[in-house]
Amino acid sequence: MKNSPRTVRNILVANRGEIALRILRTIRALGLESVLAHSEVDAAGPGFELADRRVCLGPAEASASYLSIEAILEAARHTGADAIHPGYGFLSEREAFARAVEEAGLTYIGPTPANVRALGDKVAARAALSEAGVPIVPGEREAVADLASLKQVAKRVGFPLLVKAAAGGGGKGMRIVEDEADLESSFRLARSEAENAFGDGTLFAEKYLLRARHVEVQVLGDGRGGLRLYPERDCSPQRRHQKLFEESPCPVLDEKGRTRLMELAHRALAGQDYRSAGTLEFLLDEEGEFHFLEMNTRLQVEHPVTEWITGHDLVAEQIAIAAGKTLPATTAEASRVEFGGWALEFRVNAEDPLRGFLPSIGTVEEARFAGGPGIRVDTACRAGTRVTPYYDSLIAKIIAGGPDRATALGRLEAALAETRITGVHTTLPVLRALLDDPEFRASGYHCQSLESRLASPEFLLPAPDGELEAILAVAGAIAHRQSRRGTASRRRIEENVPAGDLSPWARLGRSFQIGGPS
Amino acid sequence: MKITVTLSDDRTLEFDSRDLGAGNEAGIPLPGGERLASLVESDDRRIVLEVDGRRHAFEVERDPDRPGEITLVHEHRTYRVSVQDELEASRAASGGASASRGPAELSSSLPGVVRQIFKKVGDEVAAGEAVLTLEAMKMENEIVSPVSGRLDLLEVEPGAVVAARQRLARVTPDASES
Repeated sequence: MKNSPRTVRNILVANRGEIALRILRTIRALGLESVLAHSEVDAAGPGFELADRRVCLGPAEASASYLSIEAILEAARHTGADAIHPGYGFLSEREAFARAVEEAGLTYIGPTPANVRALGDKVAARAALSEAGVPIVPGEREAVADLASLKQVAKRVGFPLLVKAAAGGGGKGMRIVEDEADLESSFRLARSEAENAFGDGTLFAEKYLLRARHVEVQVLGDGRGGLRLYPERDCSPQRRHQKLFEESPCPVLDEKGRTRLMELAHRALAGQDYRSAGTLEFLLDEEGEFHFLEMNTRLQVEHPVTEWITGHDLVAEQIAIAAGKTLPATTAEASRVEFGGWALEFRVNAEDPLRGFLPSIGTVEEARFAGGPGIRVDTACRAGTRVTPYYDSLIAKIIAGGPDRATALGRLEAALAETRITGVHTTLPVLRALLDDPEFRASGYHCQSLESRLASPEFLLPAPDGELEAILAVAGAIAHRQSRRGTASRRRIEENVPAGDLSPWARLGRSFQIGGPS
Repeated sequence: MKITVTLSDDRTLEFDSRDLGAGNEAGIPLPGGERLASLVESDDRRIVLEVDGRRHAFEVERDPDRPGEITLVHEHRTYRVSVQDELEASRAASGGASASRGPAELSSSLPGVVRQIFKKVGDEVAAGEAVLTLEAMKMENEIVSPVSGRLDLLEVEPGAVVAARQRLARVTPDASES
């Protein structure tokens, strides 16, 4: 039975992990019904339990499940879903998927296929926005078909160069090319990565701007010209073009800069009839100029920071738009959403930062997260969660908000102290290192800052002060002794060893001092 | 048994292993003999000490590739402690095993899918050169040969799904150097 395109009552979520849970929560809060479409290895967890219905799409490999348009549509038919939310990643920016959903008579909670074609395709977007008078990052407006074309761009634009997947996002399929010698292998690898991640090896190339900040604008459109412009996010702390930390608003943008940014965003979308949520990404260079990077025609990982400072539920807004809600079509100024306070988000990935961020596969033993004022944790991870090699390594997002940046940082610090995840390696030590860095606390980073700090061992292996070093020595000796004895069981050892000359050390007539006379 | 910890400025601290958490007598004095570190909790992955009423919890990691080092994580900061006991010290003094000059086996520490293979059996490979690429966690990773030599074994083809530490290929160094 074909539904009218505006029916949104039983929503199928075609995603997994933290974002599936997050979407399901809003569906439930709105009093609507939900279906979770999942792969065989995701048949468990809080999202699985919260959904009203569950459908298995297929085996673990994404191509057979979360990337299978037929499997998802079949799942919707089977469960009577009338709408589909794609989440982020997977098919969320695939024009063919948006079209297939609508052709099946279902409501797609996202942009129109035309929006995806015009703005989601990186090459098309650059051309369109450049036409509209929005400054773009210097580079080639067209796709780079082969190595020879890439060499031409390099000659024109200079090095360092960034080679990117046209169908990409999330930092995947991107390579920095420092000089001529690296061009061929970078081209080969970027093409291969793009094919495998997005099913499309088309590349384009642009100048790599140094010391810029990644600043993006969350938008919401009603598909009829009505638009909302949310306060900007700064997502500069990145490693290999993958975001690790985001905040809103941007610490180095003043009201004048913000107004200019909002004008650019408004201009970028003029006449595009953009529908649902999307994000316009820019680089803010050292001169305070904005350069359009790309648009992500979907909800983004870091959307919670925007929700925190505006009080909006972006998934609820997406659903309302899909059900027919309209927005005023007006000036940039009048399209702006009010905000207050500051929010920060750290992405917790199952990776070992001391081994080159090698993904950590295994089973989570303990997963303890923080709470309290201004703290939000988006995660589907708990004790027993299995981290598999089939999907990306994001396992949790820790969000801290407050009336100002300093308060938010303090809350994030406290949240980190409370957070404990064992069984897999995580990137929590990186958050610790960020919070220990006075420069980060003062004003955040530019896009190369994090990588340059990671290049120094002291960033993740700080030197302890004298007292801590002594305590570490004791702990290290105990751990070593355990290794020798093969100690495996947990034992509680009583305290209350008397001080002074009854101590075993005094009895043995042995003593040691650190930094003092022997 | 004596256990020696080497500090960052190369000074050492010595402990007698009998004093380290052997039961209820777990007091360990700190500098000046005035403060005590008591062992509150311990198992093979976690040690909790209490000093002046303050708890210090350490996650313990041991790396088989780094035998003289214990990695301790405290409040999400990572520290490496150099530890040696007298048995190891005497073994080290008598000379370690000579480095192997045998063939190098290439494997991935992560399960994944083989994507591109750049060499075939019989090809010369330079140290640091990529032999194949592996896709894991949506990232494409190059598997490089640690030695120069000839690729004499290739056990996978594009599209093969491989397990962690599974042998993918082997490069045998050229027999020229001593």
